Amino acid sequence: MKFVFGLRQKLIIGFGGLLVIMTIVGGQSVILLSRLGQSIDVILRENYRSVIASQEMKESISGMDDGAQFSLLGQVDKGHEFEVQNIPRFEKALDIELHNITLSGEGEKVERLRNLYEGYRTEYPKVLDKNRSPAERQAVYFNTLLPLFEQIRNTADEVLQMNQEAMVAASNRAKEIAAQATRRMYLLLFVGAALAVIFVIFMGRSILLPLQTLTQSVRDIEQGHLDLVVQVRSHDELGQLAEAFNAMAARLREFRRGTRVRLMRTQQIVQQALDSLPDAVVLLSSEGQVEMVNRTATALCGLKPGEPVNNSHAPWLPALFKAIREGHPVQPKGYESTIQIFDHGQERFFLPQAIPILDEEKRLMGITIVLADVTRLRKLDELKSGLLSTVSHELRTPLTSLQMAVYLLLEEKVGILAPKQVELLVAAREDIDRLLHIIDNLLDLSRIESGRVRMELQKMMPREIIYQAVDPMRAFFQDHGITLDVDIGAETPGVWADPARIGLVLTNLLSNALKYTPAGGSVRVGAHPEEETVRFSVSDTGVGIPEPYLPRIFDKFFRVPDQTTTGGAGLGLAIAKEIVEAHGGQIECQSREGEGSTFSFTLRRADKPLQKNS
Amino acid sequence: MMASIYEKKPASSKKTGVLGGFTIMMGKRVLIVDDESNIRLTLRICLEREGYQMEEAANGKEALDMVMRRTPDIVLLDLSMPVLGGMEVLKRLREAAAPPPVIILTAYGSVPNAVEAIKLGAVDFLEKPVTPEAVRTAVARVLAEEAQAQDAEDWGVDAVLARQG
Repeated sequence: MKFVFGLRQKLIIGFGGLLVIMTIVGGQSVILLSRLGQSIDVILRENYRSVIASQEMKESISGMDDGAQFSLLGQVDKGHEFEVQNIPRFEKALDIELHNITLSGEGEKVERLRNLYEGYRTEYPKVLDKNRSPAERQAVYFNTLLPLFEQIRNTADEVLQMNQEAMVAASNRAKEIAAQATRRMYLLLFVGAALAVIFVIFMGRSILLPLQTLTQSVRDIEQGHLDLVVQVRSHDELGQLAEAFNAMAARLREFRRGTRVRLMRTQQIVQQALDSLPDAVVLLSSEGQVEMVNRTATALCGLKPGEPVNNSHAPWLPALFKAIREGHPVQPKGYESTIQIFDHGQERFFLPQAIPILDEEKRLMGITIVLADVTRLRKLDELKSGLLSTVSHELRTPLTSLQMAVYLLLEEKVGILAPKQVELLVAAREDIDRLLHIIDNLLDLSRIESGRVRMELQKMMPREIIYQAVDPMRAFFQDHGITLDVDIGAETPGVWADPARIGLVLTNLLSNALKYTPAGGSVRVGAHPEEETVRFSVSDTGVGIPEPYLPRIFDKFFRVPDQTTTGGAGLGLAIAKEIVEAHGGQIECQSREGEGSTFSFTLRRADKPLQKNS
Repeated sequence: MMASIYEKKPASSKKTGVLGGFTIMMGKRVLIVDDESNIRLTLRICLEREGYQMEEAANGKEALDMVMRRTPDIVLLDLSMPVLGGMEVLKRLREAAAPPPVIILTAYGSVPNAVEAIKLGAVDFLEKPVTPEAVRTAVARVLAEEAQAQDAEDWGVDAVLARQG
């Protein structure tokens, strides 16, 4: 394995370097200081000893000279005293000096001093010799001993001088060494400081810089720039961290690419699925932009993704968008809400449906708009209406002569009829009437369904509506032995209604009640206010409707099986439903078999403002 | 098409009424215009017995020819007929010097149709099917109004009002 400089090594190198610098600087200063002290000490000590010795020699030789002078003056004993006293001093000093030669030239001088001293030592006893004449002794002293003494003293002085000078020189040299040491210390300090700075910079570079780069890179990755590669070239822990980071980013990149690929595939699948639909599908964002469009929608309206709703090629789009934004889902209604689009010059009809796409918190995320192609259905419906209308009319013509003939016969103006003939003709007349009623209902239904009939809404009081329907039928109820009550809630407000058509609804409900209520039963007609509407109801105590048939009770031509009653083609309730819904109301039925039924419908209150489409 | 199915025998013409509800109507000439022979038949029988003098036409063109020859006192007119429709007959009749009153009798009884017919001069609009009584009442009422209007023309409005009491 290659040796790498890890963070630890770098720190060790960094701090170790500083330690080394400190040690070197400290060691250097210690060495310099001790060397300085040592040299001064040695030099001073040696020279000082020579100086002392020289001084001692000078003093002792002077003592001896004094002794000689004393003996010349007759004081020989005294002279001997001086001799005994000073000879060991001098010899000791000379001996010290002989072993303490430190300076050049000092040796010869000391050698000369020894020779002179030996001469002096030889001559000296002659001066103290009592056996010699004072004159002789005087002559010896002045001729030999004194010059020797002076020479010795001078030489000793020279040695002293020499050593004193050496001491001064040593002192100067010590000063110089101290100055030199100071300079060197300064230099060392400077170099150390410089090295320390370099180490700090190096540390910064090798530790902080990669950290900063890494931090920046992580920030970038956080903001989604996954393509970024962290640029840390060091091989330490930071480098490893950076590598780990790059690996992570790469994985993230891969993951994102994978997700993107999957997303794109999903989008393609969705797009293809949408394209395969025959209906035009448009997906809008909640901000009002076209997000997705299927082929049909593009082909029909020229819609493209990214188009703003309010500036699109589809003039019907803003209204749908607005309705959803205001919280009204647009459900397909009758053919009156179809959108007409010309496709290659051909008129086509589409039923719009807009469904909000909500997130978990019920916030609007987008809108799905589906335009169902109802061109064919509409054509078929028109055909059906046309057919129904034509058939109804064509049936009327033969029925007219049939009715006229039967009526005329029954008037007996053409001839008197036998009772059996009358009976037969009455039966024929009844069924002709029924047939006509069915035809009328069919015609009404097809007209209302096709939206060709507009409700002529006006303000009406519920009392008015109910009595107009109830009064003509009272006699029938009486004939059948059924009680008929009217119950109108107090303070029931007026409603919006088309008098003739709402009358028809109530009449249909009442005739049903009449048909299915046995004698002795009761029927109650009511009207009661609700929040936005007034609820009209017709309750009977009749046979009721079995549960399974309740949902189909308002279907065209539906009749509850096994309930044998005369008349009706099963259109009455279908017509009632169409009329009520054309009024913007709702009709419903509650029933229990054997107990009775309650049919009720709502009409909008006239004391509340009319809302949107009527 | 349907006409051919129901066609039976050619309508016998001009039978004089025996006794009618309104003696004043005796001998009044009623023209029935309808492509359905059965309807013509039942209408004829219905009105004949009231003492009217009945005439029949199977389409608008025939009817106009008959009116040109001798103006009837009242016309019962169907709207949808081959050759010439009822609306067209109404338009042509307006051009006549003294157009007879026309009652429309149609299976296509829609409000717009009724409005248009009345605009074109029809005095009444009956929807098929009708009962014999309704036809008789309508014819009698229209003829009575006509007679009143005639009187008013002859005698002046004041005289009519005076006679009415």
